[in-house]
Amino acid sequence: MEYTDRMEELSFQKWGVFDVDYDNVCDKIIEIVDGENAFRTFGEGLFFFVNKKYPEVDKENIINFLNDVCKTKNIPINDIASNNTLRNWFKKGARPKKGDNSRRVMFVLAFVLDLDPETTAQLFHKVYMDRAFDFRNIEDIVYYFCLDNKKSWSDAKRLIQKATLEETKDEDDIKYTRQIQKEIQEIRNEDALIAYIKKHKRNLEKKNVSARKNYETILEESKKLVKKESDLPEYQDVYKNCDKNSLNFLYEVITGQFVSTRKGTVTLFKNSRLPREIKNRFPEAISLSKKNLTYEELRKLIILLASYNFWFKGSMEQGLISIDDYISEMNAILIDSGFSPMYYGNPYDWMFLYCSLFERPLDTFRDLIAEALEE
Amino acid sequence: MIRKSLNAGESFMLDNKEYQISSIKGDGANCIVYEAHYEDKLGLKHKVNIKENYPFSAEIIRKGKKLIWKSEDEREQCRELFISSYRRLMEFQNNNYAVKTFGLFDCNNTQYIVMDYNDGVTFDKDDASLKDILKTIRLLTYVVGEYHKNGFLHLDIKPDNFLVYPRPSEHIVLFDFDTVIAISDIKKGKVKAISYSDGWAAPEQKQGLFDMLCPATDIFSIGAVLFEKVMGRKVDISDISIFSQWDFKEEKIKNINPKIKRLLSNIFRNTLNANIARRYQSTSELIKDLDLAIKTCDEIMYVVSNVPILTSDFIGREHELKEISDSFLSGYKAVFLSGNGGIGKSSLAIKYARENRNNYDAILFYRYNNSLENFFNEIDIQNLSIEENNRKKSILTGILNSGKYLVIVDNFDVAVDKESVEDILQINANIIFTTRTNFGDYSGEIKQIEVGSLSESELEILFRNVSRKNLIQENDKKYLKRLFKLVGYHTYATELLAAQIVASDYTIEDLYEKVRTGLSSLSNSEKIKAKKDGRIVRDRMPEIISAIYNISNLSEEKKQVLRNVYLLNFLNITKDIYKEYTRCNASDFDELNELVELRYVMKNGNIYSLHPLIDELVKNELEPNEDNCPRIYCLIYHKMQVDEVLDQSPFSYKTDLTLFGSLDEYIIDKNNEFICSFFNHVDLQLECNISFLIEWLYTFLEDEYDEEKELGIGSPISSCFAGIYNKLEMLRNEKSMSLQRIFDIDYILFCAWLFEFSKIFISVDDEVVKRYKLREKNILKYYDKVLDSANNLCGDNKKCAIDKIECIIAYFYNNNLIGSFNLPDGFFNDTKNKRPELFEDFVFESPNSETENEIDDDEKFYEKDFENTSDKVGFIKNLLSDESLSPFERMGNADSCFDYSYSYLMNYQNRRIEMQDIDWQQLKETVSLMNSFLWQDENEPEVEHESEDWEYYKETYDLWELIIDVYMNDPKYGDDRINEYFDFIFEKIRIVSIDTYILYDWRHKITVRELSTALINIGKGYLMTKPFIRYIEFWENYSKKNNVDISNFIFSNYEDFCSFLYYFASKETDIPEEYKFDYAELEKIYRQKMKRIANIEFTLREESSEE
Repeated sequence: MEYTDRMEELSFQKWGVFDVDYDNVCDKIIEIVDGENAFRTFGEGLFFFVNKKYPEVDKENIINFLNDVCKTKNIPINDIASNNTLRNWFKKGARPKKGDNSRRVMFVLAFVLDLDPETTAQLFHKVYMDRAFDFRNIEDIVYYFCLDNKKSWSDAKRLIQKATLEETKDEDDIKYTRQIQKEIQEIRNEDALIAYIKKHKRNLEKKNVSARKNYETILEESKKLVKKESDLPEYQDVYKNCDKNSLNFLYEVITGQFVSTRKGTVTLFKNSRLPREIKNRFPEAISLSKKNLTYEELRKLIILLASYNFWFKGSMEQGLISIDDYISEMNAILIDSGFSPMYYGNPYDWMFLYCSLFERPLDTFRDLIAEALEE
Repeated sequence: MIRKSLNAGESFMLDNKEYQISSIKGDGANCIVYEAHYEDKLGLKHKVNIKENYPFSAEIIRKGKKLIWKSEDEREQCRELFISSYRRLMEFQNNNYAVKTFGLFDCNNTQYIVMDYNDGVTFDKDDASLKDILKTIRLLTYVVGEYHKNGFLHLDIKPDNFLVYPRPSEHIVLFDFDTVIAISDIKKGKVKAISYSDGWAAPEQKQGLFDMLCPATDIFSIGAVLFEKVMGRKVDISDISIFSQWDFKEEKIKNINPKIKRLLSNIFRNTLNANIARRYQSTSELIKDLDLAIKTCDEIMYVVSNVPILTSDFIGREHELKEISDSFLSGYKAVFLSGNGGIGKSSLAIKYARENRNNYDAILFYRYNNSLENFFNEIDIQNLSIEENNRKKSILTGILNSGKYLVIVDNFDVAVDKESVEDILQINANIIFTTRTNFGDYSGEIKQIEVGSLSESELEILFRNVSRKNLIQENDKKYLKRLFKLVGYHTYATELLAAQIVASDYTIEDLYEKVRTGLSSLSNSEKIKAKKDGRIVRDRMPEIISAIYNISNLSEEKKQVLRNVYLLNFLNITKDIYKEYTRCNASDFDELNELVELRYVMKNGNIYSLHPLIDELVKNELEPNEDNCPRIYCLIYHKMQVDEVLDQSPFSYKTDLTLFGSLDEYIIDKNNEFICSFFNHVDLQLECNISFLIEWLYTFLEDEYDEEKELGIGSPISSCFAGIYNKLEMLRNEKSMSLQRIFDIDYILFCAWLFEFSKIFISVDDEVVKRYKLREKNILKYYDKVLDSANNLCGDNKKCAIDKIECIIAYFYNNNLIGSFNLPDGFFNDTKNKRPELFEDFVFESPNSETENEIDDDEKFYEKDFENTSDKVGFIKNLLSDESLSPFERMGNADSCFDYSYSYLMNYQNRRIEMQDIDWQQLKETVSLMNSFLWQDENEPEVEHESEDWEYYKETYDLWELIIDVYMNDPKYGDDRINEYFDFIFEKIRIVSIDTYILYDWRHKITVRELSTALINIGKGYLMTKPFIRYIEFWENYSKKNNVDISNFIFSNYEDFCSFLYYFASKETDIPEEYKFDYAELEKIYRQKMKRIANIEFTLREESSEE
C-alpha cells in the first residue's frame, strides 16, 4: 500500500518538522497531489491488486494475463474492456468513467480474479474510488452472494435475471442498509437469496435511508453553527445583509466564498486550481438544495458539513482536539450512513484529512478554497 | 427459509428426561429458545429453558419434531458452532451472572442446551427508576469487567441479551455468548468476522476494525444501553462526538438533581465517544462514575439554576469572558467584575453562566439585598422540608460543597469594608460578584476584572441592534460617534439612546442635536422601556440614568465632593490641586476616595475626573454654583484676574472683569482648549463671566485664528466651542441682554459659521452640496442677525460694526467666486439672485492676501473663452506661445483654463451630461500639450522659486491637478510614471487620524472619504481604475505597518467602489469600448485586497437598487 502509506506519511509529517507555508496551502496541496503521482492511477491500483494475488504478473504482461484468465473462466474480455481500453488504463493513466457500466466491469474483474467480498470492497474503495456493494441494489446483492459463496460470473448473471423477474411483495418495515447487509451475509443458498430479494424488493428501493437521516441531522447542526459563526464580532459586518436562513448562506460561511449573485447561484470549482481529482464533483452550493442526491454527492456533502461542524466546534473549545478525534467521528458517521470510511487514497477525503492536521483546520480549508479560486 | 418451531405441548427426551414445551421464549439468528418443563420422580414440575440449534440461514425443513438439513456438511458445521457457543457458556458457569446450564444434548437431528429457568425480564422490558437503572448498569459493568479480566470481550451487549431479576435482588444474567471472543485471538489476528447489533455496537466493531477491538468496545455498548434506558432513544451520530451535549428533557430525568445530569453527561461522553482513546479504558473507571451517580440519586435535596435570561443583545466581551474562565481554571475562588453602573457587568456574568452552564451542576443567581447572609435565605432548595428550614444555610452549603456550582452575586455595591465576603468564600463553588466597588486591593483567592467600555464598533453594533437600524449611513456614523462620546461610551446609556430613537422616531442626527447640550434635554421626549436589575422600567432617559447612580442618596459630604470635582473637571485634578482649590481636610479625602471606590469619581493614575454621565447628573441634581462652592469660584477668579489698570479687588468676584492677560502657571498659557473647557463649565448667566468669554472669543477669532487651527466639526477643540456656541445661542434669545451683547454674540456666531464653511474640499456630490448649502444658509442667517443687531447700535459703534460685517461677507462671497473654495459653478446663484448686494466688488485688505488665494480677475477671461471655443487644443497652444509672458505665467494661464475642464469633467455626473458631449481626444491632447511644454528641456520656466525642475512642479501644483495630469497623460508614459506619481502622493500624505483628515502638505487637507471619492470620480471621468487599486494598496501597507484597523474606513467606501464598477461594466453607459475595463477582474482584485486587509467579504449590489 505504498501510495496510501506515502499519503499518510506526508500528512503526518505535520507532527514532526513540517515546513508549512500557511499562506499557500493550496499550492502545497496541488504540489502534493499533482507531483510525483501521489495518487496512483487506476491502472496502477488495478495492477497492484492483480499482482498481490498473482505475483508472477508484471506490468508488461498484465493485459495478456487478463485475457488468459478471462478465457479460463469463460468470460469474454470485452465484458471488462477492449484491449485498447486496457492499454489506456495501464499505460496512459486513464480510468473508467464512474457509472453503472463501469461498476459492472469492476464486479466482472472481481469474479475474474476470484476475489472474496472483502477484497472486492477494497478494489472498489481504493482503485475504483467508489462504494463497493450497494445492498439496496439487487445486482450488487447477487454479486455479494456469489462472491461470498464462490459462485461464478454466469451464476451471478443467472440469479440477477431470476431476481429481477420476481414479483414485488409488500413489506411493511423500513430496513436500514446495514440490516439488509447483515441478513444477506447470512444467506447461504440461492433459493433463500431469491426469496429474500422477493420479500424485500420494495425496501431495497429505499435508497440511503441512514445516510439521508444522518445528512439531515448534520445539516441542521450546520445551519445552527453557521448562524453562530456569522454572529461573531469579526463577521457581523460581513454577513449583515445576508439571508441567514438560506442554504447559499450556509455554503458561503462554510467555504468563505460568496455564491449568491444577481444571476443566481454561481458554481465555484469548475475553473479552480484544485486538482481534477478533488474539484470534480466537489459539492457546490446547488447540491444542498438537491432532493435526490447520488451516493457520491451525499457522501461528499456529509464529509463537507460534518467537517465544518467538527472544526468550528473545535475552534470554540479550549481543549485540544486531535486528528484522531476527527477521523473517529467522521468514520463513525460515514459507516453509520452506509458509506466507506475516510480514505487517504481518495483525494477528496485526503484534502479534509490534510486540513485537519493544522491547528486551525477551518481557516486552512477556507484559505485553500480561496487560493484555489484565485486566477 | 421460514423456521418452524416446536409446538406447545410437544415433548421429547433429553438425558432420560421428558421435556415438554410450554411456549417460545425467544429466538436469535442461530437458535430458538423455548420455555419447557419436566416432571421429577415425585411428579413435581421443574421449569427450564431449552435452546435449540436451528440457524436461520441454513436450509432446514422440520418434519414432525425432527430437523432435516440440506447436507450433512452443513449440519456438522452448524453443530460445531453450537458446541463452541456452549463451551463459551461453560467457561462462565462459575460466574453467577451467566445462565446455568444442565448440558448439551443431541435430539431431533439437532442439538439442545438445557438451561436454568429464570423469571427475570430482559433489560429492554424492565421499567425501572433512574437509580435502579444505574445500579443494573453498574452490575452489568462489573460482570463484563469479569469477562475482561478473564481475557474475553463480549461484543454483543444489548438490553435483550441479559435478564434482570425482580428487585431488590439486583441480579442479572447474561445468556447470549455467540459473540464472545478471546482477546488473545484478536491480538493474533484470528478474528475475521464478527456480527454486531445495530444501535449498541461501537464504531470500530461496525467498521470491522477487528484489531482495534478492546474492553472499550464493550464499554461503548454498556454506555449505549444506559443511554437508551435513560434517554428513551438509541444512540445516534450526534451522541458520539467529543462535543456532544444533552439537555435531559426526557420525562424520566428532567426533574432530577441537576448534579446527576452532569454525571450522566460525563458517563456518556466517556463511553460513547467515537474515539476509543477518549472512552474509559476499563470497567473499573466506569464503575467509579456509576457509583457516584448512584450515590447522588440519594441526594434528594438539591438546587436548580435560576439564572435570568439575557434579554438585551450581548456584544463583545470575549476577552473578559476568557478572563473569567481562566481565573477559575487558575484556581481563583471568586471573580469580582468591577465597573461603572450600567457598563454591562451583570450581563457579562449572565453570559458567562449561559456559555458555561454545562460545566456546572447548577448556577445560582442572587441579587444582593443588604446582606450576603440573605443569599442562604433566598436560594430555593428542592424537597426541603419545613422542619429542616432552620438548617437551610448548612444544607445549602453542603449541597454546594458536594458538586460543581457557580454562584453569581449581583450588584454587590458596598464599600470594601462594609461587608465581609469570607463566609461566602467558604463555599466550594465558583463565585462571581458584580460590583461598582473597587475590590482591587483584595488579595488571595479573589480576582478583580475591570469591566470597561465597549469599543466604538461594538457600541455601534449594540446601537444598531436595539434601534433596529441595520444600516447606518456614513453621515449618521459621525453623529453616532459623538453620541457615544457624549455618554462616555457607556453601555446602558447607548442602549437607552437607541431605545429613544425607536420611541421618538428620531434620526441619529436629530438625537445628537437634541442631546449635545446634555441628556437632560430628553426630559421632554417620549418615555422609553428599559430593563435593569431584572425589572422593566418605563421612564424618560434622564430619569433612568439618574436611577442608576442615585446620587441623591449619597451623603451631603459626598455630594459636596462631587460638586467640587465637577467644577474642577476642566483641570487635571490631582490630589494637590483638589486640596488647593477646596482647602479640604483629611476626611474630605476619605469621601473622595470612597467615591472613587464606588466609581462615582474616576481615577486615572493620580488624576480624578467625572464620567460624562455623572458629570451631567451632578450638574443637574447637585447644581454646583458660587453659593455652594464659594472657595473654588473665588480662587478661580482670583487666578484669572490681572487687570492692573482697573485695580480690581482680587476677591470681588461679582464685579466685571476685564480681559485677561497672562495666566497663572496652573492654567497653561493660551491653551484655548483648556479655556474653552473652563467656559463650558462656568455659569454664563453671570454678567462677569459672559463679558469675560466674549472678550476672549473676540481675541481668539480676530487675532489668534489662522488656517492652521482646526475648527472643523470633529476636531478636539471644535467640540468645546460647540458647547460655548450653544450657550451663546441660548443667551442670545434671552431678553435681558444688552444690545451690545446681542451684537457681540451674533457676530461671534456669524464668524464661527464662516470659519466652519471655509474648508477646502475636493469633490462635490449631492450630499456635500446639501451640507454646504445648509452652512451657507446659517451664515446668512447669522449675517442678517448680526447686521440687525449692529443696526440697533448707535453712533460710531454702529458704523464700525456694519463695516466689519459687510467686509467679511464680501470677502467670503468673492473668494468663492474665484474658486478658492472649489465649489461648483453656480453654487451661489440662488443667493446671488436673491441678495445681489452681497456680491458687490469690494477692495479690502484680507489677512491672507499674500497667499495663492489672491484673485486675478484677468484670468477669468481665459476660462470663459476656453469654455466657448471648440478648438481647445489650439487655444492652449496660443496661450503657451504668448512670448510676452514668462513660461511660468503661460503655464499658469493654460492651467487655469484646464482647471475649468477638470471641474467640468468631475461634475459631469451631477449635470447628467452625456458622455459624447465630452471631447475626450481634445482634452487628452490638451494635457499632453501642457506637459510637453512644461517638460521641454530647453525652455524651462523662469520662476522666482527655488527649484526649476520637476520637483518644483510637483510642489506647486495642487495635488488633484497632479492626479489629473497623470491620468490624462498619453499612455506611452506607462505604468511606471503612474506609480511614481502615486509614490509621490502617498509619501506626502500625513495621516492625522484614520477617520478624519489627511494632510498632504501644509496648505491642503482633505478627509479620507474625499480622497477616495475623488479618485473614483477621476477614474470614472478618465476611465482609469488604477488610482483606486493603487489607493487600496496604500492602505493595505499602511494598515500592516501601523497595525491599524482600517476595516471601517475601507468598507465605508464600498458603495462608491461598487457604483464605480457597475458604471464601467454597465452596457448602458456610452464609454467607448476600448476604455472599458474588465469588470470581473476588478471585482476579483478588490475582493482579494479587502479580504487581506480587513477580512471582509461582500456581495455586489445593484447601483440603482438596494438589497
